[in-house]
Amino acid sequence: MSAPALHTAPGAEAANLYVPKLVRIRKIIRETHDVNTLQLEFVDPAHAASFTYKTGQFGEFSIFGVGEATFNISSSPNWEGFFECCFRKVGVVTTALAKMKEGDIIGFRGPYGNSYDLEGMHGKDLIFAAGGIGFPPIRCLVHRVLEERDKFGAVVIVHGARTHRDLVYQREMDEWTRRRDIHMIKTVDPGGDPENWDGEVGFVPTVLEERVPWILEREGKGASNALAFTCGPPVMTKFVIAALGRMGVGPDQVVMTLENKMKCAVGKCGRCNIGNTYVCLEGPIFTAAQVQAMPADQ
Amino acid sequence: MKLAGTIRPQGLWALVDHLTGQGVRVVAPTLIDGLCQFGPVDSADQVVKDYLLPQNTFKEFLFPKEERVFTWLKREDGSFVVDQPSRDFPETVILGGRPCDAAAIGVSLRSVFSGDKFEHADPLFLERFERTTVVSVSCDRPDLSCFCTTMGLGPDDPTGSDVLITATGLDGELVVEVGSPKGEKFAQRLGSHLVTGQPETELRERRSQAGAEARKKFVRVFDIEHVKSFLDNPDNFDDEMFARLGTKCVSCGVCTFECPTCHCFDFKDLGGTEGGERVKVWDSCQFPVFTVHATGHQPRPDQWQRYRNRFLCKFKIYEDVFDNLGCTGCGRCVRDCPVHVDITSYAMQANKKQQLIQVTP
Ligand SMILES: Cc1cc2nc3c(=O)[nH]c(=O)nc-3n(C[C@H](O)[C@H](O)[C@H](O)COP(=O)(O)OP(=O)(O)OC[C@H]3O[C@@H](n4cnc5c(N)ncnc54)[C@H](O)[C@@H]3O)c2cc1C
Ligand code: SF4
Ligand code: SF4
Ligand code: FES
Repeated sequence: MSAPALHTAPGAEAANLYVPKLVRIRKIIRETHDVNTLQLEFVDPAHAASFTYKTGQFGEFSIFGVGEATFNISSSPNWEGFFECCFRKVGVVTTALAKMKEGDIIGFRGPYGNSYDLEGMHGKDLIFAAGGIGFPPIRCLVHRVLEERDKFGAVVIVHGARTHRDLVYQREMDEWTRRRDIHMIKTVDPGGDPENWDGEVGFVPTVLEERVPWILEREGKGASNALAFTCGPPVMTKFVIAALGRMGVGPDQVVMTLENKMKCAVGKCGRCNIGNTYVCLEGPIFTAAQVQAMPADQ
Repeated sequence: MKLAGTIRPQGLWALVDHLTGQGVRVVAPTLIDGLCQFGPVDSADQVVKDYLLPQNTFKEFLFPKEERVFTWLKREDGSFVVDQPSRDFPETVILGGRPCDAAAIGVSLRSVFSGDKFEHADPLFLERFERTTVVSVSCDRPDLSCFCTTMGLGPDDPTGSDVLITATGLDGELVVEVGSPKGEKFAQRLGSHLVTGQPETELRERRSQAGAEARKKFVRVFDIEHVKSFLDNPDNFDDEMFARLGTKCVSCGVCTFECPTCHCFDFKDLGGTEGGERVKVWDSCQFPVFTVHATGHQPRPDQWQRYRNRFLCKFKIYEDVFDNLGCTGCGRCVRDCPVHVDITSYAMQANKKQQLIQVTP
């Protein structure tokens, strides 16, 4: 877990947990018709100077007068001068956020939650498998891995969406496709493929099971040396975990990000618990084995 | 607790007027909308003296139902000014709290907001807490719903109180015990009303006798020894008792709003982008929308699953996560549930089931 983020505003004695810092939208990248990436920078240079985060952590992003929403910080902590989030338009806050313009100011508090254990991943063969808006929470990790590519074994990315228009991070994926040290597999649901589609057609778990085993066999050290990373709605991750299991990648080798409803992000508002696990305090990153041991309150 | 002396009721009432005169906020049982509730009083004659338990708890004076977190104002150039409200919280005396509430609020609820176990502390709660003195009065006549003794507390338990006042039944004598520097300060304020110098052994004897007499009057007494182990077994999460006992719940949220240990909240933005305020407001895990994911996924689709979460919160999660008691047996949720969902019947059944498992090899 990271150190607590202290928020001060004019006239305040001590840090109030829930007061955001001001950040400016430096750039908006339209990923798909309903997904945008925001590049953000702190308005106050002192905030920028003291801001650090770890790969996989999240934040609370607010639009004043509308409310807060929880997003993963989707950039690499090594990027300087800005950080990113990527969100899909689904409800009140995200719809308002989608209407914001470059230069507009929003609120941010964080970072919160645990992070990926990068050192524990050294030497492992890595599988990234996510669909749709489940990708941003692991995209930051892909970047971190690529920054130190030689420390890891094989890298396979299976990235899916309903249609080709719903695939986020197209530009990065084109770049990753060209790299010879990554296997970039993109896939769309049956019926979502355009005429000249150069990717796969099929659901993420299916494509994963068809394509990945032989890559691991040829370039990796076998299933027992693999670590898989996934994120998405429970219906999808369940099938991803099952497919990985059939490939010999057990639940303790699968790392996933949970997306329980959150408000406070600091273990107070009582919203994010699965049994006695407060996802905001202990997560959001867990192994599938840990998640399976939690009660069915998911 | 340290024995400070004795006082007569008149002395206590005189103090109310004295404190309010000094600008101290006195919160005591008082009539609000025809109900006995904890509320600020201006003078002793507003205090309800013959009561068991106010309908609300005094947690709202530490964890307000509605609390402004910050305000914002958009300037013409598009920049924002974010300001926090001033935090000169009034010095407050909670007079006439009960041991169940004192333990629930002074220890359990505090453990959620304090950050003692986790890194994040809520300074607004803690600053209010610093300025609040909890003066509890031991109960002498529990009702049919009270079950603090079952929860390991009792009608004269000092947990969470700065001052505990117990009537000995001897000619209006009230024994005053103090358990913290805030309590000491309160005792000093009693001034000449506080009678000191009586033989301590006899006084202590009379005081424990009063507590023992009150303990005898409890009817809702049951065994909870095995409840935690029942809930710790993941297989029991799907036990039939949860749907059977909880299906009738109508998700009104009363049990959570009245509970001294419930801590759930939400944020609401009032005003618009140009200017406004964000407020923290009480929320309830009994409401269906509480947990809906952005994908529309609902972890607890049925109402009985939401009550199961409440029961687990009180008898397992609080202990596992915050190292404290989640339920102090105040009985409010038993007393006031419109459809008689009864947390003690959950506890009794869980206990019984676990007992049966343990004797059957
Ligand atoms: C740790 C974590 C990381 C996350 N990372 C990301 C990320 O990187 N990118 C991203 O896009 N999202 C992410 N999410 C999800 C994100 O938090 C939500 O998409 C966002 O909060 C939605 O906010 P909103 O105000 O727009 O939606 P809301 O208006 O709150 O509604 C969203 C959805 O909730 C449901 N809902 C709301 N109210 C009701 C109701 N009354 N009845 C029934 N259903 C209702 C609906 O399905 C609705 O579509 C993450 C979540 C968590 C917990
Ligand atoms: S769960 Fe019920 S009995 Fe226990 S403290 Fe809360 S309101 Fe009181
Ligand atoms: S248990 Fe009773 S008081 Fe609590 S939400 Fe259900 S109906 Fe309301
Ligand atoms: S988000 Fe509030 S407790 Fe986890």
